Amino acid sequence: MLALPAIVFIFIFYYIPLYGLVLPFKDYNFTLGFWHSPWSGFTNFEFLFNSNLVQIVRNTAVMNALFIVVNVIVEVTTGLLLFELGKRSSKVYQTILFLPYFISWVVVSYALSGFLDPDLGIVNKLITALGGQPILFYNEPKYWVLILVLCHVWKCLGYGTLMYYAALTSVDPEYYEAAKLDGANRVRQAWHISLPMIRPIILILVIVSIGNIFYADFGLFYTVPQDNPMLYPVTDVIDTYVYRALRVLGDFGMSAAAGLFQSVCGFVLVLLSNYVIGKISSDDKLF
Amino acid sequence: MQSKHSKKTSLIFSTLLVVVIVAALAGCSPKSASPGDSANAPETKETASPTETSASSGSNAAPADDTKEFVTLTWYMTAPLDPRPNEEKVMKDLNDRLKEKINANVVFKFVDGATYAQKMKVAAAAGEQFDIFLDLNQLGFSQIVSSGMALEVDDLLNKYGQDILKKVPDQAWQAVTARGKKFGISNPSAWVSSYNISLRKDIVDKYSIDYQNIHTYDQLEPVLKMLKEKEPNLIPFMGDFVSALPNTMDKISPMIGYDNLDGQWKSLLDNPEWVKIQKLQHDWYLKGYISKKLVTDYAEFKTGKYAGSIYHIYDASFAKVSTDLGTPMVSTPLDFTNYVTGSTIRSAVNYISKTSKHPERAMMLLNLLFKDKDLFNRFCYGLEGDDWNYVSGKGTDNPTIKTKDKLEWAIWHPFIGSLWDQWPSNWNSQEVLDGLKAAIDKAKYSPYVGFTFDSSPVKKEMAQIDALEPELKTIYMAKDLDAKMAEYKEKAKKAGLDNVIAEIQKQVDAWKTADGK
Amino acid sequence: MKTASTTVAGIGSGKRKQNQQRFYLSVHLLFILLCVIVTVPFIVIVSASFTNETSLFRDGYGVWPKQFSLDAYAIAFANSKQLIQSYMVTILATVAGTLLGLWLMTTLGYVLSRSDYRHRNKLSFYVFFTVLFRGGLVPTYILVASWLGMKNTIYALFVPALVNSFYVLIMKGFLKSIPHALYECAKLDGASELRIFLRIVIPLSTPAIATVGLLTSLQYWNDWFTSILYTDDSKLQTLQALLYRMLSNMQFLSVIQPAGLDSSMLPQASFRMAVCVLAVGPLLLVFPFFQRFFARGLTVGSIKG
Repeated sequence: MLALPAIVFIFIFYYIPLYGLVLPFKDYNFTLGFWHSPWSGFTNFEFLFNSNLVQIVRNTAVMNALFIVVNVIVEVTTGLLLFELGKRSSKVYQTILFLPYFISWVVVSYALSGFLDPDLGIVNKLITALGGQPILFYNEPKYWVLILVLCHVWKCLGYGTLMYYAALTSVDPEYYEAAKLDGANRVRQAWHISLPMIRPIILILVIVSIGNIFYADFGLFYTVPQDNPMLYPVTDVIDTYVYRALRVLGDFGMSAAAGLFQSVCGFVLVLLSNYVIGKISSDDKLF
Repeated sequence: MQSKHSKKTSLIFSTLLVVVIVAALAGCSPKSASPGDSANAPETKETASPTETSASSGSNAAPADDTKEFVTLTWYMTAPLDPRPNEEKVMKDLNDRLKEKINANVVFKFVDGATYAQKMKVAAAAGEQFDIFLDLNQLGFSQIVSSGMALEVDDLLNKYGQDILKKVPDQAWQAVTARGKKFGISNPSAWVSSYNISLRKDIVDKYSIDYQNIHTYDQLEPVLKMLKEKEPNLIPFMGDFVSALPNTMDKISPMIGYDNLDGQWKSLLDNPEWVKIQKLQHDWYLKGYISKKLVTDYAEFKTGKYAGSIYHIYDASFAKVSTDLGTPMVSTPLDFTNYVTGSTIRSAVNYISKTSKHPERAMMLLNLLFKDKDLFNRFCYGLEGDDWNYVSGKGTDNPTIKTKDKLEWAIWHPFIGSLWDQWPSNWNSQEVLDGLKAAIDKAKYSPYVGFTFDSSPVKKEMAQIDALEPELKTIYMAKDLDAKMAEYKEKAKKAGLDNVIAEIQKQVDAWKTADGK
Repeated sequence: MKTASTTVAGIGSGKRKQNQQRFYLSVHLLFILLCVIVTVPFIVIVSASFTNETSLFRDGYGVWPKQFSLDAYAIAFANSKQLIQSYMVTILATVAGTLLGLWLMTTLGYVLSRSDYRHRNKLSFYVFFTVLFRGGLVPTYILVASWLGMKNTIYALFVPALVNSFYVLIMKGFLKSIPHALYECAKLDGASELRIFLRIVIPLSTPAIATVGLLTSLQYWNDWFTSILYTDDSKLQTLQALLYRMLSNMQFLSVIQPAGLDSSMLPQASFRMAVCVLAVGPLLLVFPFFQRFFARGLTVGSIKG
């Protein structure tokens, strides 16, 4: 009952506007409004289902899945190591590692082209200095899986680490005392105490990411590769495709349709993973 | 029992909190409309305003009566400049002048370009009241008309807008006419681009290049070949060739349009001029005359890696191209016929909102900006002394002025009136203005200036084809250009190109019969 | 609170101590490396923001500006009155939003974490659903602007975003680590639910509250869209909205290139970097504030006792 204000709040600000979900099924005319615009069935979804669908859905899901896996591993490890280091130095590291969170993707794309530019980029200057052939990074999709993953980890590291670190600090030290009395070494302490204690946080972050797996970070996929069509085999994701398709038409109904499609697919995956988690340990189910 | 009791107390506590929050929210908006009101507002307005207009045009009241009531007009506009430190002072000065002339004040609501369309759409959806709004082709004419955001302005123009009618060319009105009614005022401006080949002055001098006799890419090629050999550290040329291609198409979407050369509606991929440019670009790419990477921004020229570029404004003094590209340049116009099309005319259109309470006064304001050159320029340049000073011709109707280096106020002339009424200044010299004007006078008007395409019957196909277009940016880098083009033709076909063309033809026929052409 | 590491070090033998030190050294080295990877681009950005625009293009980016220039900051600070006003508005919205939001989210997260709460799964679903499904821009705008009448008020800047469903779920994850037995004990002692929440949950979960508080305040700090959407009045423009508008304007002008304008007077690239530098502000102010709470949580033992 303590939660009532928040529940009411969510109802007002999230559930009442949900009538907007009729939008994908409407031929929306914004002066007619939601209820008076004519119904259009599933026509707003049709533009998604074309020859590109497989590629963009695959790119979106695979890249996001990679991000989830890599991020969890890297961030949990960093969090654990920070926790080992103790308070003072971890504070400094934490603050510095959080820096990239404030750097917009546009700025990242500038900085990255400083590294990867075919003529002026640092990487290619190095390669040519060592007698190699310059690599045209912006023309070769194959490098971009790695580049995008690195960019994503680089930017999110501080954010994720912070959460895991905070979760670790709220673990009762008595557990560690007890483990030490049992002669458990550091690795075993991490494995048997730290990880299980922060498991709820890991699971929640992962499940929410799975829910959003069909939503790509537009800035990362559009701005960082500089919207270069040569890279579309890797970088073209649902969000960038929808942006391109609707930049002229500006159709509310169609963009809402794309969003609903992404949400529903993500939702199905979440239900599935929640079910699987429930089978393993019912206490960890999200709902 | 204990816990039940405690739950009750916390329930009371939480309810109180909710009440407090709700009260706080309600308290800040004593005048907030009830849900029903605001949702219905646009529709009621829709039926109400035409009668309002006809009533005002029906009455034979003298202009003096029309301005008896003091009103404040709201004008939504894409922000021309941000920040505008001098806004308060300039607006006060302008409003003092306006009050004297038409007994009205104006409040500009400047919205940044990137969020403008979104903001206007939600404002319109929520039935917000405003008088004039500018559209730089972001919302789009057909959407504005079909959604009923704009008021028909024929009667208002006849009654209060004579100076506007005088200054906007007759052909241009077609572009803002739908169902035989005018819906907006397109501000005269540089409706065509005067593309030209620009070369770095130091390079031209060094090799004494006879640039003035170069007017085509073929004539340019030997120069690039020479530069490639003699200046190994430079990339001979930088350019967004495709937008500079002989613009024979009147496009209704980035990829589909009317080809003025053979009178066909077709996709870019079937336009021989476009194919020719792509082949040329492919050739130059292989020969190393152009960059290995995609260049999309003129600013790239400032890296100093390039010897020459395409540029979009030609003026004989080369002043503009030199400042924009950051180094002294010379340029020579590309030889091709420009076409004025519906979408170029609609590059800056002011509409009177259907939610306006004072449409006549809005029209009076717009007319005044066309009529009173002095006031118009004060709107654009700001406050004399603060923002600009006379250089020469003070007191005449076309003085030359100079603005401060750090702008504290600006409205670009085509946003509120005619570019040809601009006082020459460091923004545009008389030479530049004359050059731009000459380019338009030379240009042809596309026969479909007045045709607007309603994409809703084929929007699925349009969306897919629109999505294809950016992919063409790098098509010239393909190893086998012909194969790549064939591949894209196939893709366009799959996306439903034929359906779109058929629908266009259908609408064009209907439009022609309706117009009796 | 003693951290695990110091205690381990305390009881180690000589050889273990050596291992220990080697371990710490390598971990420190790793972090220093990470920090370098993170900081170098940032230093480049700071340097770029102080570089003359032309030089930026010609010489490329570097760790030290080749041609020093304050142009970018001059633009940002040109309207200092507005800047101060925007700072005030942003701070006000951030503080109010974070405090109120924290209360709402912590209470809800706490209830969701109680394993003896019967409807917790249904309620979790109720919350999670809104992570994925939103009504969209127009319905929200109509709700906030017309029905609640918050357009052009400071409330519009923080009220709609008070509860972030994602953070509620994170809060739930944190609070799950509080042993359930504790609540039982407290109840047996006759503590009311509110009392349990105030006296046990809040002190025990300071790291959680600090984390969510930090994220919430950063979210408020970095938000520009709300301000642009719901306010026309420059008095209510938040800092990020102000900077965003300037930036978007420059970009917009360089794309449409109105015939009236000399685009070379806008130092777009360096200004973008300056915006980035200015945005980092809260990292230096807010971050240390919240960080203090990370290790200050009381232990379960201290409460039991």
